Order: sequence, then C-alpha cells, then structure tokens
Amino acid sequence: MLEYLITILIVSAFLMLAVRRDFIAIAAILLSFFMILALFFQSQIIVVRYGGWTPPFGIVWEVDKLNAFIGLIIAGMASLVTIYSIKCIKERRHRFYTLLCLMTTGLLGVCLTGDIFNMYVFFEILSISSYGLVAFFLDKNAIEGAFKYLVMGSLGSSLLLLGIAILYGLTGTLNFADLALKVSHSREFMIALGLIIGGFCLKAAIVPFHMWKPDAIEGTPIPMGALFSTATAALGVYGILRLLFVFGMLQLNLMLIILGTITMLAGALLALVQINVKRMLAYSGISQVGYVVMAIGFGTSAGFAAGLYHILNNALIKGLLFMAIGCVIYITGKENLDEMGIRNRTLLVCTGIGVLSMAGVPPLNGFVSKWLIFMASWEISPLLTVLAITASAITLAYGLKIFSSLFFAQKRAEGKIPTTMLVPVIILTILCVIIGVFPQLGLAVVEPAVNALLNQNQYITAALGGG
Amino acid sequence: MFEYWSFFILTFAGFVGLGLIIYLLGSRKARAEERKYETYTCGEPFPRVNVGPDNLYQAIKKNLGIEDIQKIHTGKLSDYLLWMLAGFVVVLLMVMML
Repeated sequence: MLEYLITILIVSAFLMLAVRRDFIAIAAILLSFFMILALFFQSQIIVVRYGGWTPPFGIVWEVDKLNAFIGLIIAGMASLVTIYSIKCIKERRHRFYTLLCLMTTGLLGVCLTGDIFNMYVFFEILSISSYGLVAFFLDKNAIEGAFKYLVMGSLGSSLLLLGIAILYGLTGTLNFADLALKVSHSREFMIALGLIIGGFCLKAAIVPFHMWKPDAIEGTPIPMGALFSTATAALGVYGILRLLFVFGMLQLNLMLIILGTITMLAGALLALVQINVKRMLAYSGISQVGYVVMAIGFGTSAGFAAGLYHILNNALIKGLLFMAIGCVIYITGKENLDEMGIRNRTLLVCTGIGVLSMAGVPPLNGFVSKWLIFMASWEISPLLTVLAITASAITLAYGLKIFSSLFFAQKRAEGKIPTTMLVPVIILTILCVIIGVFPQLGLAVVEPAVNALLNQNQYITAALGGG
Repeated sequence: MFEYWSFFILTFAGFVGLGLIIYLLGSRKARAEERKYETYTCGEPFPRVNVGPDNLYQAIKKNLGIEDIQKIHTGKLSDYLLWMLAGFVVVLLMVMML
C-alpha cells in the first residue's frame, strides 16, 4: 500500500493539469489520508524496498508509529484543506489543486522515506510546490512573499544537500539505518548534522530562520496558511527529531531548549502587535512550534510526549483558526483586523473555541498539551515554566484581539459561508473540544509515537532486514 | 499516565470559581462605575471610544521592547538572509561544541 501512496498523488497532480476536474485531487488526497490511517493502525514497522534492493543500495520506505503519526497530521490537514478550497479558491483551481497534490506528495515523502537523499528530493518537491502556492494570487504580496521564500528556501535546501553530501562522503551510504550504524561523531559529521538541522529549522520556521513565514503566509491563499502552519511545521520538527534519534545526538537538547524558548516568546510578542490577521496567525504558529521544540529539548519521555501532543493540538487549533478566519475573509474581503467585523454565530463559537484552546484554557485540547509542557519544564527548570506560562498569557492577549476585532466591531458584515468551508471548521472545533475533554484519546495517538521515538533500534533493525 | 483528571478538575474549578468571583464583583460595582464616569469626565457625557487593533496593546509594545524586535523584521530579503546565516552559524557552533 505504501508504494502506491505517492504514485497516486503524483499521477493525480498531472491528471489535474490535463483533465481539470477537482474531484481527482480531492479523491487522491482523501485516499492518501485513509491509507496513512490504515498504516497508523499497523502494529509492526512497515518497510518497502524499491526494486527489492536491500540497504544501502536501494531506496527504502519505512513507517513506524512516529512518522505514521506525523503523516496522519499532514494527510488529515491536507484533506481538510482540499475540501475547504473547493469554494474558497475561486479561480485557476486546477492549478491550485495540482500544486496542493505535489505539496502533499513532498510532505508525505519527506515523512515516510528511510533514505536521506530521497528525503532531500521530496524536500525539494515540497519546497517548489510551496513557492508556487505562495505566489498563487500573482499580486504584489504574493510575489514578494514567494520570492523571499524561494531565496531563503533554496539556501536552506542547498545547505541540506551539502550536509547530505558530507554524510555520504563520510559513510558511503544514504540509508538512515545504515548511516546510524556507520557514522562516527567526528567533526565532519557534526558539520553535516548542523547543516541538515539548519535546513529543517527553516521549514519549521524556528527563530531566526522564521522570517519567510509571515511574508509567505500573508501572500498565500488562506487554506495554504493552514497547511504551512500545521503540516510544514510538524514536518520540520519531525526531521530534527528523526535525525537526532537515529544519530544518537540527544546531547543537542540545550540547543533545542534555547531555540525553542526564543521562538516561543518572540513569536508570541510579534503576534501581539500585528494588524494583518494572516501575519498574526503566522507568528502565532511560530510561537507554538517554539513550545514543541522546547519540550522536545527537555530530553525526557514527558517532554517528548508533551511536544508530540502539542504538534497534534497545534495542527487542530491553527487549522481551525486559519480556516475560520478564511471564512471571515471570504465574506469581508479584508485581512486587516480593524476591517473584519462579521456577524455569524457559528464562526463566533468556532473562533472563540480556537482562541481559548490556543491560549491553553481548559477544558480544550490546547490546555492538555500546554499543561504537559509546563509539567515537563518544571522538572528541568521552573524558569522555563514561567516563560512558557508568560507566552501563554500573551497568546490569550492576541487571541482576544482577534476575537474582539471580528465579533465586537462597530461595523459587521453579513453573508453566507459555503458549507464546504464551514464543515472543516466545525470538524476541527469538535476535535478540539473532544480531545480537551477526553485527553486519553489524544494520548492514545501520541504514546505509540513516543514509544517509537524512544526505540530507534527497532527502526534501524527493521530497515536492515532484521525485523 | 499524567494524572490528568486531578489537575483538570482543579484548574477547571479554579477558572469557574475565578469567573464567578469576577462576575459577582462586576455586577455589584455597576453603580459605582456610573459615578466613576462622571468623575472621570468631569461631568461631561462619556464619549464612546472604539480602540482599534492598531492601538490595542500599544503600552505593552512600547514597554516590552517589542518595537526593537519588530525593527529586526525590516521586510528586506538581505536582512532576512543575514539573520538566517547567523542562525546557521549559531546552530553549527552549538553542534560543534559537543
């Protein structure tokens, strides 16, 4: 099944250009979600060796609970974005869906491959389709955002490639598992690792690699903002996690704590003073990734659980907020908070839940993962807990700014929101509430991923044919 | 695993209790608020002021040094690249120090 996943997405992307029927892309992305869902419930690690070649000679695809978890988030968000875009994107939809299929291909490819060069290839597919999607509207903001992202992304990709080349030069292999066995922690290896981590920091938009993100999200169609802030961010964190664990480099946790804390605070403070709602949500997304990176940096099982749980919750919350705000933009045609007043009860409830959940107010899902982060950080340093709580308070402040600007404005627009745009918003709202009230459901998804992360030997053994 | 319900119930009860106290205090102070308007505006009718998102949190923006962080985000690609490069150097140095 795994081998067909990417094929379906790539074929659909090119079919979309030829046939121009939306349902092809929608069906392909939904199918990919159900395939990943099926993979997630497999009890064993799934390994596919292309052409029957064993590592290090052939390309291997490998799915354990960790990348199945991230893949589930990616495919889930891509599916909701696909449904949301049916009415949200009004023109040149076949091109949009072609690029969306390619972007999903890149996201899932990076996530599921067990070969580091193959990872780079999918990283490029993801990046190039992303540039196209950012420039989609072809107006000034879109072109400027896309150009900045293109230049920064290309530099990041080049450094990633350089790091991979150094690794290949040192070990003569590109397979993750084989690399884990052959690599020695020499100075050259450290340089390669630093370059590759830098490339993933750019995708995850960790400070100071984050500057492309607000500009890109400001220019891109709003559904893509949702995907950038959820799937792309999750993938960046996944890349860092996979590398650190496969190469046994957990000593880098101090770097992650420092970068995560700075990202968390800087993102929140910058979100507070934004007027453009897309930029505000972009900075908010950066801040939430900071929480995840900081939690992972603790290096404890509680920290990993908290970080991975927050990846899931951030995807739900940020997806909800981007899509709810997209509905407002659909009606008002404005992106500045002082012009976005709207009268709509469904959106009021959904946005309210999204804002409160983002700030970590119980009984919503954001509270669960933030509480886990606070508890995990307390064991490392109470100062980190204080900083995390401060960032949460700032999150509530800018969340309320969004809420009051939209629903308590003097002038409020009215209009009908298409059902295909409202359904994903309602689904995400329900998930935020359900996971908040029954956090065991979220833990049931996160715990296997944490266990997979902590048992990298199984991943290595399975890839090399031992499991 | 994380004893969720104990902290969940406690925090939830805390929030509900805090909300109740704020509500009760707020409803009791309704008349006092009217007097405050008169004193504050020297007897003049209190004008309706609508604070836009641009002005919201201005004091925080000035006092917390957010303006300085904003200054770094110049919008110029060359500055972005410089910061990105600085980030790479920091990451490389931290990795090399191990």
